[in-house]
Amino acid sequence: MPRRKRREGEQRTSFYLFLAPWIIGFLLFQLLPIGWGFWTSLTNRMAFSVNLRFVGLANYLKLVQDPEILYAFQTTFLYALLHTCLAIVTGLFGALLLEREVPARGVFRTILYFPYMIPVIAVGWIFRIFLDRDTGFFNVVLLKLHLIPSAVAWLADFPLGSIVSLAIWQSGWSLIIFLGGLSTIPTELYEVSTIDGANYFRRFRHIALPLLSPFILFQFVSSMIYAMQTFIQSFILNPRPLRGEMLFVSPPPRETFFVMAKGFFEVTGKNRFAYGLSLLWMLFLVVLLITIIFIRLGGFVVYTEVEEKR
Amino acid sequence: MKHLRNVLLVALLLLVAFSAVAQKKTTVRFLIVEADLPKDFVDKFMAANPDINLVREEEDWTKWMADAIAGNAADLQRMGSGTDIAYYVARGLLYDMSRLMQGSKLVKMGDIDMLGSSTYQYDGKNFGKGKWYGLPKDYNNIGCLTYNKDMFKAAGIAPLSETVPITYYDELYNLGKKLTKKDSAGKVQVWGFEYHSGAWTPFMVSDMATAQSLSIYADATRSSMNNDPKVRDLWKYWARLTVEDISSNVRNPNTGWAGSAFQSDRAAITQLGYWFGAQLQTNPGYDTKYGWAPTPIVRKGSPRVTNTLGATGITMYAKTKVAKEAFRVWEWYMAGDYGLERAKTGWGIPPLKSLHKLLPEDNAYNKSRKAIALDDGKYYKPWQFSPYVTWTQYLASWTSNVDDLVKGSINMDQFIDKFYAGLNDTLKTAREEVGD
Repeated sequence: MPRRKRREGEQRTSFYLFLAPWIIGFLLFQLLPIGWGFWTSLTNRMAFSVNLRFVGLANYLKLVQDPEILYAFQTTFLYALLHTCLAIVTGLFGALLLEREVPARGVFRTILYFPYMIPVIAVGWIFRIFLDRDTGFFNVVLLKLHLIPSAVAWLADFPLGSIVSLAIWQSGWSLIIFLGGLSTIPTELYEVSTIDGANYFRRFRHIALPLLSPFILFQFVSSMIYAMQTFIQSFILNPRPLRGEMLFVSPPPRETFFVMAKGFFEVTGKNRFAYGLSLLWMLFLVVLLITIIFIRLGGFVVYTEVEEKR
Repeated sequence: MKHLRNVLLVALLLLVAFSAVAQKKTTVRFLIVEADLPKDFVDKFMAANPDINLVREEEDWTKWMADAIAGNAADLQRMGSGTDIAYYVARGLLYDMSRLMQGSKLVKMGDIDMLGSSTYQYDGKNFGKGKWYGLPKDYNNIGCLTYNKDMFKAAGIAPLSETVPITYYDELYNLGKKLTKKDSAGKVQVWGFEYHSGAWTPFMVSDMATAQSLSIYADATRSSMNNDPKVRDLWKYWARLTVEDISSNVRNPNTGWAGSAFQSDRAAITQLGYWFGAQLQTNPGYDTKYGWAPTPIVRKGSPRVTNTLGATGITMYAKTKVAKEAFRVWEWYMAGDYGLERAKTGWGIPPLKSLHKLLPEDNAYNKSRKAIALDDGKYYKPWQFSPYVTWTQYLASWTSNVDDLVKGSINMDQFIDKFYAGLNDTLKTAREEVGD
């Protein structure tokens, strides 16, 4: 065999050998469970089923007829929309403030990004304590300022709002992306428009916003995908007592019993494997559909300098 | 190069052979909370039994179920409620320990206190008969009342009798209402009767139904809930306590649990059982501050019926490969050093009659709670279990709907309808699971 061919063969082998751990991991721990999950959703499987049988799309048909499931999709979509919009608005606002030459800008950037680095479970607990009716700092401040007549049970009375508030606190990711986006805008554009007499808001409206629109679309789509799959926040911000095994036994309020949490509850709380997994597959399809719609719609509003070839 | 490779190969083989010899220990996995199996006791056990490597796994039933599906669950497990034995046996998950128990030198069959242990013996239809699947680690009269004497005194209410039970309807309800304190904004400061977050409600309702010769199920197979107005009214009794702020609810939430609210003077009466007396001993002045009363009866003249929640106990996984070693751990847990040590603490009544004498009686408080627990024991009746669901399913359906009732978006009958609908659906699908 010529030396060149042998060398190519060795290179090819080493390439696949280096990739092998990832490929094996992906096949075993991702593709296989995904396939098993889909197959299971087409059966009547419970945790310890005796008479396992193929039921086709029966679980999916049952899902679309279940008013509680449809309500869960509604609330999940509403939450995702609120979460996404708030994260984008607060991230953009923070980025516009920190884009300016202000003293200790780096420190402020770190402070605002910091909450995003804290694991979501810890953030959930922080908010659970912060929003507690009797001992929460939020009520203490509002009562001191006489903004509320008596302590409010935020987690119980405003369950959706309580979880959405996490989004504002964790808008550091959005902030960093907008800072990156703002840095790509040529300063000459601002200078020329200033000479032409444009004030700050006109410069923002006609220069920054169009040039940031691809970043907004990216964040909108990725944040919607993430928020539609919100899970643990529903359980941690459940106004009921959280004690060990009770965490997943007491379902969250209806307003925050999002689809992922409901799917998990069906599988582990009720042992309804097939039904729970079909719910999660349906969530995947809905998220896919939403993503396609938003990307298509985004094409009409996102500014781009590249002419689309027709 | 070749020589070096051979040397390495031989070294590797020697290492494997050496590890195999060194690892003669048998590992026994025990699914249990640390409070019920502290590390120092694990160390003591392993020092006395060098051939067993006892590994405590944090109690997580979701993980245990997943492991069981894979055929590799922990060998021993802490069963939260003995009434769930029926559920797990129906799914072939528990080891029949009868033969091992009959051959035990530490646990004598004649010494087993059947009052508290009967749910661990099950013949597929009834408790207290057939095969043994374990024993309670201890049991409790979970219906007995613990109350704050200072709050009773401040409200001008006489202490409760230690021998004559009060009634649920009228007496306990009225006491709860009278002892509930609210501030000017209507916020609850003290719950008159804080019951255990709805968690134990099915057990209490079952007792109340048994006392009136009623069933909480509509059929003999126990696979649908009973719509009889008398039975519905029993569930309503507990929901009323929640709606009327006598107990915590979504409007006046308890961020801890019934016990912590009681310990921090935020509840006047609670219903947790003998074991709670041990926990209260961390409060200063506990022996004069807190009083005990037997499990209430439904109405004047109703028979006494009490339960133990089926008792928390230790069972063995059906497919364990180390049954003999796991049983040695189990024996030690029940009647060895650790069993004796637990009995002395008064956190529950031991499953072995010979250990009852070890329960603390050092003051009037401990004497009172022990006497009430043993007296309540005379009226134990099995819980009206369904083999299709665990007791947590009742809780799940209850908590899924009770907020809507408290917020007024549904009325009491709609609440019961929704609570039943959730349970009936679960019972129906669970029947399919076991092929009935």
